[in-house]
Amino acid sequence: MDIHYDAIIIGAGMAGLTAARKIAEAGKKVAVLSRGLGTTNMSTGAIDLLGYAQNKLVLNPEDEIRNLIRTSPKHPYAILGNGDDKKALEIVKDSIKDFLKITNMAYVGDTAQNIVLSNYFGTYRPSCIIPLTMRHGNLLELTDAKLMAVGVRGYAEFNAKFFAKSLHYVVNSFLRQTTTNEVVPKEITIPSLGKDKDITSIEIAEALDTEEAFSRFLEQLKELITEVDVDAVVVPAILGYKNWVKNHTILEKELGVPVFECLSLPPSVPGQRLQQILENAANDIGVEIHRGLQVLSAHIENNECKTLETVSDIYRQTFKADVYVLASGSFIAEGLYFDGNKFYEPVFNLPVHRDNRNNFSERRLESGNHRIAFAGIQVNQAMKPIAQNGDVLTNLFAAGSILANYDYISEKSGLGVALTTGYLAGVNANNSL
Amino acid sequence: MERFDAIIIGGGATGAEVTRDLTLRGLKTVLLERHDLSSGTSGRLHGLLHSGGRYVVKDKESARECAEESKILLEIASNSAHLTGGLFVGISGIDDPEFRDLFLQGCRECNVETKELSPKEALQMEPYLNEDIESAFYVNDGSVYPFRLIVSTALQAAQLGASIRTYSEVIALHKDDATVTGVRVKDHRKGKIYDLYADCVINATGVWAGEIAKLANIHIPITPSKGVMVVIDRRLFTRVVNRLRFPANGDIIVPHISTAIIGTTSVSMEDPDQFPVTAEEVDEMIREGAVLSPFVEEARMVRAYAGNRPLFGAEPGEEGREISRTFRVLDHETRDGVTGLITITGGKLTTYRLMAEKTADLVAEKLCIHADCVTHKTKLPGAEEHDLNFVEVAKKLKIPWLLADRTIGRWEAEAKTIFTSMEKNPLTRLTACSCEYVSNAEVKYTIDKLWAYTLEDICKRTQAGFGICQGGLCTLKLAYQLFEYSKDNEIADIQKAIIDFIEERWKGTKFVLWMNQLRQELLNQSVFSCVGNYDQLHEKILKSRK
Ligand SMILES: Cc1cc2nc3c(=O)[nH]c(=O)nc-3n(C[C@H](O)[C@H](O)[C@H](O)COP(=O)(O)OP(=O)(O)OC[C@H]3O[C@@H](n4cnc5c(N)ncnc54)[C@H](O)[C@@H]3O)c2cc1C
Ligand SMILES: Cc1cc2nc3c(=O)[nH]c(=O)nc-3n(C[C@H](O)[C@H](O)[C@H](O)COP(=O)(O)OP(=O)(O)OC[C@H]3O[C@@H](n4cnc5c(N)ncnc54)[C@H](O)[C@@H]3O)c2cc1C
Repeated sequence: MDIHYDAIIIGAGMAGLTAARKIAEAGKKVAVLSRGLGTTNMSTGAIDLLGYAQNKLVLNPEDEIRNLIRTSPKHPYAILGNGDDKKALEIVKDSIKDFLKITNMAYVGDTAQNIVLSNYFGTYRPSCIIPLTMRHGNLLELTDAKLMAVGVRGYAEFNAKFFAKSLHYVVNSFLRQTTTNEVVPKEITIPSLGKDKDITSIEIAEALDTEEAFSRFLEQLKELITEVDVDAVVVPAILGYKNWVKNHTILEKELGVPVFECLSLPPSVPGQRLQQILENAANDIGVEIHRGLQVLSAHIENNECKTLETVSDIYRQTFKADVYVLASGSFIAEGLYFDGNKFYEPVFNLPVHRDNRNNFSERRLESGNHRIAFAGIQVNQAMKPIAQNGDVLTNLFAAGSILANYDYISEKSGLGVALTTGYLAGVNANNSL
Repeated sequence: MERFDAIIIGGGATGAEVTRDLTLRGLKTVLLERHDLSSGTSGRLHGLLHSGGRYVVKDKESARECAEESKILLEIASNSAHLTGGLFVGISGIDDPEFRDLFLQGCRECNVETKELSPKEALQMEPYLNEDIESAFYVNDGSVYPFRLIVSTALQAAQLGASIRTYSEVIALHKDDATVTGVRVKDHRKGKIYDLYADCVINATGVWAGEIAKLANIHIPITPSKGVMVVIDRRLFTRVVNRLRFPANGDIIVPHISTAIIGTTSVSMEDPDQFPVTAEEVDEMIREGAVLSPFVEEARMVRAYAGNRPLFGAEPGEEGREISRTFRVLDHETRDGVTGLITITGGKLTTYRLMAEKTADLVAEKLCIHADCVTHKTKLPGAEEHDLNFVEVAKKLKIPWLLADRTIGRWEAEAKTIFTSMEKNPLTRLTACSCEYVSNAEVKYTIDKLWAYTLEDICKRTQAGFGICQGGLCTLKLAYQLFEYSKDNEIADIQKAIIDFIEERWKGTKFVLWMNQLRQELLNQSVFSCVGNYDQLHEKILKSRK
């Protein structure tokens, strides 16, 4: 049985769901096919635009994206404006405005200004468009502040004592722009989750969505804040799935000081929240999201994609649309593969672009030298991928981390590239209908 | 002035066992190791507890030693040496069928127990074997986990009064005329240099033995012989599987916990510190491994590593003869006219106890001490009988039963110490590594009692970080433990430990990065560099400590 859509998106990450939304907003019938959760769901939830350029911390992403467009004409940000930096930045700003709208004020940020956030390693990194709960964690604005870091007993992923010592050391030694005065570690318990056993961020966030657990949480924090006089309170990324914004507002009000979540490792609650925000927004305007459905192959005739073959746990199914957007992610999400000999993109068999240097660098911690990070598919200025024969498929667009020529790990640009390219691919796909 | 009866240089299996042996004989000893225990060849081996089968045709002396020693080890080190059983299989059309008779005859001559199997029986025992089997034999091969074997050995010596000093490198020998009287030590952790004196200095530095001898102007003919091994993600066999042919590259697969290790090669090297792994060698291991089991090609490669064997060359007068691959105890008094120095090198891990016994006998003779060797009947800590039951432990401590089960599996009787600390400090019940089920208490135990100073040290002792995620998610949790429990670490040291560990693990994983292992690596790099920002911060952190 064939089902016909105006547009089909492959991949339910930041790129795919953004593209889907743009097309559905124009009143079109859209389906997203997704085999599983991708990297968006694992991310810290903070949207990077550009965190490092030439190994320097970027303070103003707009300026540095402009430079990047000049120096790296193949970078996805350069493709956004077809080489025109003004146009590219317009798309960046539009797509972020558009994103902020769907978050219902749960995200904040300014494309002309990076902020610097702390993480579970007790180190720092820049980001740009961030959940409200992280807003007051900008280390650049916490100069000479005394912080309280609060861990949760049983939650072994975050160690407040380590975080406190490390952040103090790392910020004061290496972050030129600011200093911290002191970080005081404290611990609280979530009684409903039991004592002295492993508890996960997921369990804590679910518990804090309940009034009972949250009020116990708040009580303990209130008591701690009377013991030491601090300028702000930092907690791990656990403030709930449903009520995180509300919880955060209550905490700040009741404690009388800024409170913020720091960036976490996967499984990351803010990453899951971001995934949820994107899915809900798509759902709200009628996008069908088919989960657990892997696209196996595409049927192509005369450079036009006709149908997609898919498989789920139970059955095979054919999907048909007028346009398609490929947003199946990079290696982690299995949008791309490397089998030891060759690179391939499994659905359309698009050529995977990469340079001839070694996949990986000698040392593991190196910025920009793991060439495999730059591998991906190349698109033209309309966001259409180039096929093996050098032509473009007339009705296929691509976006997100499947794209070639950038390294989100080093430059800190992952969700930003996914959002902006997904936005443009969606707009272009819609215009082509 | 610090004085000992004996100074032992080298914290591999041999040095640790010489220390245990001499301490059991009542001597005051100190063990000096420049890195961590078993950071040399003893930590870079294939992990096969040899029944002797491998050597019955080409090196009968080694075969006999292995046959006897493997039995003893299964008794005294039951927590780290396991009798898995082993097969020798000849593959039709590939392996020389005439080897079969030579093998059978060799086993008889060397007292290596064996039993011929029909191809069908062999396949029933190991269903993932290549089906084209021509002949097959069963032998008493086993597997050995060297890190725990060696820390248990050192632990027993320490319990009896030996001083175990890791990250302590011998940089010079003190000489009084033709007598070695002591050593100069560089403590790498504290950055200090000091001297120690003793009646006897034992050079148990394996493939590095020539370098220590050089400090006394003595020449020892050692050629490093590199071997490469590849770890795959599934335990394809329950037994060790060997090719029934003259020993060659890639002809043994050793099962190890939930993985299997394919090995190995033999390439002469100039420098004992160099053992690079090449992509060609990894390919060769996979190709040869696939002859033993076609399933090797489907498996996920977890990591590759290599080590240098100490191959003892010909002594003057021995040139041209077929030299046994067995060990050498060199009495430098009779050999070179230098008293106070003995070298033990060559051999295998399987024969390390015997090597130590012969060395300690010579030391005892020199120091006129009348005490017999008792190492063959003294069980290592953990190897004693115990009645720990994981279900009961799990219930009592309210921990996941897998955690209890794995902890007992690793430490046997010694697991009691870990469970006691869980009782005292409930927070140590939490899991530090959820791939391998390692608790904070176990990590704490290695820091408190087993000379673990770095994340790599912890992982070698507990297997934390060796699971599917290859440290991606547990690195930070292990660092927390090092931070909580190690005594003299500053926060900068812990940050350095994280960086060192990330790079250390890279040495093994970077050769096998495709398909799922590649996904895992990119995820780990996202965690370390995208979230942790270590790609930007590592140089700054390392520099600031200098
Ligand atoms: C641990 C971690 C932390 C990170 N932290 C940050 C951060 O703090 N800030 C930041 O900006 N970026 C971060 N990133 C990077 C960021 O997450 C990614 O760059 C971004 O999410 C990519 O989005 P995407 O939509 O292109 O792909 P994904 O989110 O990976 O989505 C790809 C989708 O395609 C689906 N798919 C793949 N193949 C098929 C198929 N054949 N059929 C159907 N569906 C298919 C997948 O199941 C998935 O749903 C992080 C990444 C990781 C791994
Ligand atoms: C590839 C390979 C596979 C093998 N497989 C097996 C197997 O399956 N079964 C088996 O039984 N045997 C096997 N072996 C052999 C076995 O690993 C070695 O024979 C054994 O580990 C040697 O132990 P050792 O203590 O003598 O030397 P090592 O373990 O090398 O110990 C010497 C120590 O001395 C230290 N040292 C060096 N210089 C100094 C100094 N100046 N100051 C202080 N310390 C110093 C080193 O750091 C090192 O830790 C294998 C060997 C190789 C290379």
